[in-house]
Amino acid sequence: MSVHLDHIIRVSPQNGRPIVNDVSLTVEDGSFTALVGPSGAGKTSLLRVIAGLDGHQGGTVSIDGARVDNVNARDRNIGFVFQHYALFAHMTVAANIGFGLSIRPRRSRPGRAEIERRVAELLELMQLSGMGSRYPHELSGGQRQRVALARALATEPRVLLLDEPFGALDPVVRRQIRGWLRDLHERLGLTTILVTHDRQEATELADTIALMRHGRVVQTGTAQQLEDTPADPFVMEFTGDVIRIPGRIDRGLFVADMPDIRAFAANAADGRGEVLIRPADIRLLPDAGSAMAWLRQTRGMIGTYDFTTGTQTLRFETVIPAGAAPIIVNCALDISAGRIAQGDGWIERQETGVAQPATPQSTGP
Amino acid sequence: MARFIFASAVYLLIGLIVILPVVLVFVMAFSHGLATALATFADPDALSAIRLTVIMTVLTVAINTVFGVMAAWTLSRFRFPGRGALIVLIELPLSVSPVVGGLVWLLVFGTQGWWGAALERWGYPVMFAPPGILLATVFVTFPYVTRTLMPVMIHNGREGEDAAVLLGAGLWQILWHVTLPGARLALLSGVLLTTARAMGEFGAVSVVSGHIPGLTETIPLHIETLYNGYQTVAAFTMAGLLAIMAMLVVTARTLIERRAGARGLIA
Amino acid sequence: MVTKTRLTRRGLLQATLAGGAALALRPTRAWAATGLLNVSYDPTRELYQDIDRSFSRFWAEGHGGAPVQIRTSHGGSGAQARSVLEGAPADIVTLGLAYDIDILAQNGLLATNWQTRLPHNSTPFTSTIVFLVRKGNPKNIHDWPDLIRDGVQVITPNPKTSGGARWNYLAAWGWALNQPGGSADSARAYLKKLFTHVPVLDTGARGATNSFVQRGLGDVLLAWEDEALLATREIGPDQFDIVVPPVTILAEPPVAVVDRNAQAHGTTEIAQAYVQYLFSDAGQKIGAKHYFRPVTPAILAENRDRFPAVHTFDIASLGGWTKVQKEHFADGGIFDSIYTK
Repeated sequence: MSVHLDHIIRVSPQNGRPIVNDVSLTVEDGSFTALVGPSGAGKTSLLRVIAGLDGHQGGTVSIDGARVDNVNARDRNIGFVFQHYALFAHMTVAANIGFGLSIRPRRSRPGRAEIERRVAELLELMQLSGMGSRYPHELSGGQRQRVALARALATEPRVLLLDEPFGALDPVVRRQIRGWLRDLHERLGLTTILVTHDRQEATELADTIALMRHGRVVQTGTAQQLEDTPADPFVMEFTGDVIRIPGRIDRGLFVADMPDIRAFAANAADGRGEVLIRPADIRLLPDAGSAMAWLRQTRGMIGTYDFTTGTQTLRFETVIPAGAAPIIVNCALDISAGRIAQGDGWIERQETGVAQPATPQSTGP
Repeated sequence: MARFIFASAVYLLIGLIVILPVVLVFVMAFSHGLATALATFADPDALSAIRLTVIMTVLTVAINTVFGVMAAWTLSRFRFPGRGALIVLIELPLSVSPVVGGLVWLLVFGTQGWWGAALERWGYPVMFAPPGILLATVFVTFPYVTRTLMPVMIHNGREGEDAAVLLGAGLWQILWHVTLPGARLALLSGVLLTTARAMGEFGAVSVVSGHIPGLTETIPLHIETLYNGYQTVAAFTMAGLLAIMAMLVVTARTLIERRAGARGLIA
Repeated sequence: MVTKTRLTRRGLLQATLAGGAALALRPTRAWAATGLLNVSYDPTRELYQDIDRSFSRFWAEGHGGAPVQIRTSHGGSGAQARSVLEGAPADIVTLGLAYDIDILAQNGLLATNWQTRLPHNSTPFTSTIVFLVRKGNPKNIHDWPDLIRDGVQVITPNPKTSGGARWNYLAAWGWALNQPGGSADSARAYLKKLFTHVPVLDTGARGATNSFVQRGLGDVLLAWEDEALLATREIGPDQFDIVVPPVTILAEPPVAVVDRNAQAHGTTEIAQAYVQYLFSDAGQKIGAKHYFRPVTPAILAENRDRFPAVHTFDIASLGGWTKVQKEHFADGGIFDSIYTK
């Protein structure tokens, strides 16, 4: 089942500010999509809009091509796993899982034996066999997580929504469950949307990542696409380690404020700017300047350098230049593999024409 | 040392203010022996007072449980204009004197009031009859279920209900299977509080009862009548009965809360 | 599994509600047809308990043995009248003073000429106001001036709610007014002083008696003679003495059938029989037994030892209840002015 969001807007009922701001997103049938972003980005709100738990003030939500804006949450047949599981504390595990089936109107309700069979099946699928008669407070966090998942899957939903499902688990359990969840997704042929603030989790689980900030989807793509061609400095920082090097554009060249960083071509108007570069893309150039680089640690081909020039020091991990000594004197840095940011956007670095800031924003003083 | 002093002071105060009077009630009740005390219950007016108290309490609890659950759910789940005012209004009976709680009903249903004359003409007198006593008791005990339930419902949050909605549950199914069971200990506690208060209510009931022995006297009113009739032993025996009933309810409530506390179900 | 519990719980709830509602909302007419409600004032508890039993036997003998259930409710006379006015289903009122019944008549509950329907202004028993003091009269109280001596505490209920208290108040007022050189101003000054000696104002005569007798408050209780006699003879023999002041008021607590209620309940006949029974020799004797002065001279004479001769003035000499009520006890009346300032 595909999910299609078209210009969704949701405003805060408290202060009228947009929580979800003009979000359009397509989740393909059978795909695993992660909504990623810092807390407060609107991920959970968007998920609740999809589920129908919260209303939206603009745009449309379609499932399998049919608009569901006016379909009540209870009729959307969406599986939802809450951050804190939201298990029914007064019911056994089996009753929790069977809840969605046992409350159906009489004519569409499966028989008791059928419900029990289905519960047993799900317990086994979730590796919880024999725990049906326990109560939620008798289970570990990971077990509760799986009960919540089983409960959401019992009604055979069209779409599975997971809201920070691993947030409350310890790291070891979290890693185990991740692989298992992805496997489940494949086996059951689900369409899954996962909300997480953890980039690695998203990378490991999802085919597609939608990165959100301030209620907007900033960029959608595979993890690799986001890392390689980040739409803006925020995406670049969110998708990997970044070193920021401030400087200015001066007659078509980026000149760092720090000495011993080699200027490079930047076809943009004069003004302030900042280079964002993955540490691994930084090149150490021996005998090209007056700085000193001191190798503090090595890990295979990668070394942690303290690059010192004048009174300033920059620490980063990068590829150890071939044949370099632990202390490289008279060196300089090449950062031309980085991207130049001005404000929230990139400066275009096309070889032709005059570069423009990606977003129309004045440069800082 | 300080702890010792404070503990002693608390014990002394509770002893003087709470335990001593209750003990005295029983001392007075049995001052002429057990048989004299038990003879109190041979009086049909006493039995009638006990029966009326039990019926009024059961009905009050039923009504206020239904209303209280509705009110607590509405107020903890939804934001709507006038919600704050409603919360204050629900607590009103806690802050006005019970006598006022009786008088307001007299204003509405007394024969000098709005509807009283008509109701009486149709053969359904409300005041100075059990329905009036019920109204007064319901008014006085109205806040208890709501006040105990609301914080727990707010604490339990919406996620459980949201989960139930997504699993296909309707409003009533959610209330019955998720919300109420999730707050059942608080509900029970509120119900018992209502029970204790309803059994013992004097002021509001006194205004609307008419003090007709055998008909509109609840246990507290009957105690007053007995006391004023110089039937000291009977008065204190009835008082002792009421005290025992109240203590049973309070004990039940304490046990429930302890159980709830142990399971972390009440914040 | 879920369904099963739901059904039982819901069923239980419905059964409770339905059953309880049926019990509570049953119209009270059912009892009214065979029962009689006498709404009375405070110090008559023992009197009417006895009368009710005796009348019930009397009625049963004359009417084929059908038992009649008579209930009597007690409280401050004013408060009781108020209840009847608001709808308490009284067939009969036996209140502390005529004014309280006049109010009911003014509101159409009974004929305004009610007081002429029975002998002696519809007053089967009279009483008077006396002083009840602690045994041996330690504060040496003999007459009205003694009440306002330093260190004397006087117990009397609130005239706003209690008929007895109004009699107390008027007894004092009448005495002060009839002193040599007495005037409304001197009487007012006396009462103002008197109420500074009152530590608590109970709502009814019985409450005041309890304050004095059971709780040991005060040095002197202004009381109905019957209440005082009851206290000395039965509650605390050897604890109290009765002091009859040289001049006091003749208290006339009247009785009446509440026509409208009795008609509605179908009890007019029995209600009338009841009030007439009070004037019969049997009723008069029961009254005397409970320390109410019988109005039948022969029976009063039989009980001379109980009821010493007293010098009394009556309410008519003060202008009658309507005038007295308006001047003294209405809001802003003399009582308000002396008690609040």
